[in-house]
Amino acid sequence: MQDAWSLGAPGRSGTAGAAEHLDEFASRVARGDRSAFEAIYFALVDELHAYARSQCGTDVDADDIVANVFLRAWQYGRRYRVGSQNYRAWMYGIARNEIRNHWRRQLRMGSLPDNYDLAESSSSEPDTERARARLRAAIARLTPDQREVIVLRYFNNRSHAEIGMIMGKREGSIRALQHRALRQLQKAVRDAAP
Amino acid sequence: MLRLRPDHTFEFQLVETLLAQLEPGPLTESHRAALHARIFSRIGAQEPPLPRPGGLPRLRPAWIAIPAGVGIAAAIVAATHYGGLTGGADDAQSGHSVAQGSVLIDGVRGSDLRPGQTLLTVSPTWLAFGAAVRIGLEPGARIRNESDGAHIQLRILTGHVTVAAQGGGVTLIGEGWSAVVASGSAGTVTVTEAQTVIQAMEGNIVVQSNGRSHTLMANSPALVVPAPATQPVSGGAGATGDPAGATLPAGNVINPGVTPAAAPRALANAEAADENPSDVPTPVPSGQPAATPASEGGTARGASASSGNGQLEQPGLQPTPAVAGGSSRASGSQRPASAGTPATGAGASGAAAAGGNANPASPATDPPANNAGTNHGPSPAAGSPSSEGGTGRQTKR
Repeated sequence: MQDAWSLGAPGRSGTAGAAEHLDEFASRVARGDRSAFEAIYFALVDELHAYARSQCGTDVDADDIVANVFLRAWQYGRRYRVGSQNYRAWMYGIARNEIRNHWRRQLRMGSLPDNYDLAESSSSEPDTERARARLRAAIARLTPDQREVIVLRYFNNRSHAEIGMIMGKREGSIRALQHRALRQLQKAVRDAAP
Repeated sequence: MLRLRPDHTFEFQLVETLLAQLEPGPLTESHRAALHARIFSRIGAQEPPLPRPGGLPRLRPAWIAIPAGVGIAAAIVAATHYGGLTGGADDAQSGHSVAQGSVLIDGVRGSDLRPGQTLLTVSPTWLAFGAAVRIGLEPGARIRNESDGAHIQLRILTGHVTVAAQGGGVTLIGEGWSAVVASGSAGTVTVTEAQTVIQAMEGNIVVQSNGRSHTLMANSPALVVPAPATQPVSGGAGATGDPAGATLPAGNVINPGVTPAAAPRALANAEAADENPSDVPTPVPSGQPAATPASEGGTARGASASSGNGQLEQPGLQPTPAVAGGSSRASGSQRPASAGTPATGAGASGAAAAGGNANPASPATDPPANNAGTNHGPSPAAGSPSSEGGTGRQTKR
């Protein structure tokens, strides 16, 4: 279990060493080692959950998504290219697909949420709380790509390069998406200011 | 005002502060454990890995597409190039040739040179009479095709021409001289207003001038034939002010107006060489390098072709005393005909094949050498097909 936590703190950028460790665990997973998979679980579950929750809004949905992500990661563990040191991005790729499937199901059921239940702050200042509420609403109005970049960048602390790898886009595109999203969010927060 | 960060992203201070406050915290222990139990209770069998076709390494599409594209392009270029160069045997018989390069034929851009037509080269050009004869022409060279149905005959009007004959002889004609390049021979002819310089590189070339016949072999000095209208060269170096003449010994100069008694020393040497039994062409064992045609401004080296420094110097164009003395000539050329260096394409590739270290000059300066590098016919000296892959060859486009 200690190994797992050494792979990187939840929600923080992993290091190159962490990527190597993840790769090593992934190779063991490919051989059917469940303990290695547990290590991966504890290393990645927090950030994947935060990612899923930021994308789909509720803890319940995020739990479903994360459970499916790990089940698929085990099921297709032998298909990961060991040595590519890309395991984290590979997991995020599975999570992205799961989130898309989630949205498709929501669209079919006609139950899209109006807002995102992002983390509540412990702050008691009313102005700050109002600003956060506006920001949550503004995030909900971003395009899916912009929202994903914001989530990965600010909630999962991924680098532009990593986000590009996860989303299958170039780093420059990620920067552009981030800039447009931030501009939109800033406008939304300022416009609503008294 | 937005500020630019070192990572070239703009700073949105307010929004980013708020986003940091919205960042979800880590899962609680109980939440994590519950999720763990849910996942690990449902873990099943693993899917087999995806099979990789034929054990080939996994390549990105671009890594496949680029070599494939290059391969296709190379195949097209090669087909065009060789298709243009390799005419049928009929071409040689009919005196029709195909030029590879920028040429003017009777003042018009074209590539097919037919009997009676005059060709002026604009760029380094390679002229093919079927697979039998190849003519390399430098820019500015002008020749007239005077072939009849049975024999290839070219009048060299001006410029630097390299001739390589494999399947049959070629007759070259100039002002006050004519030369027959025998089958399996190669040589160069440089025609200027003042003189003509003829040199054999492989095999033998029989030159008729002033009623005399001279056989030039690869080890013979260059033969200089002054133009009939010019003042006879009396033999002093630099007598004509021409750098070529300046470097050649007096003995190498044939003056049409002078009696044969005054024939040059080097020419006498060349003739003496004809009578020397040791110079009788003998077959070169397979794998033994043949001499290589020199190129302007460059040297062609054969591994065993030279007894001296392995260099063939081009007289007239590269003024060096070694030319006159012949001390640095390739001794391998003592059996030129045997080397059978065929020829078309001859020498250079043959040497490259056998010696493996042919060193042709740059394409810009020496089209013949380059063309020689693209030997299409089998080289007797080469001995094996693999020899065609000798190093140092260049292909002229």
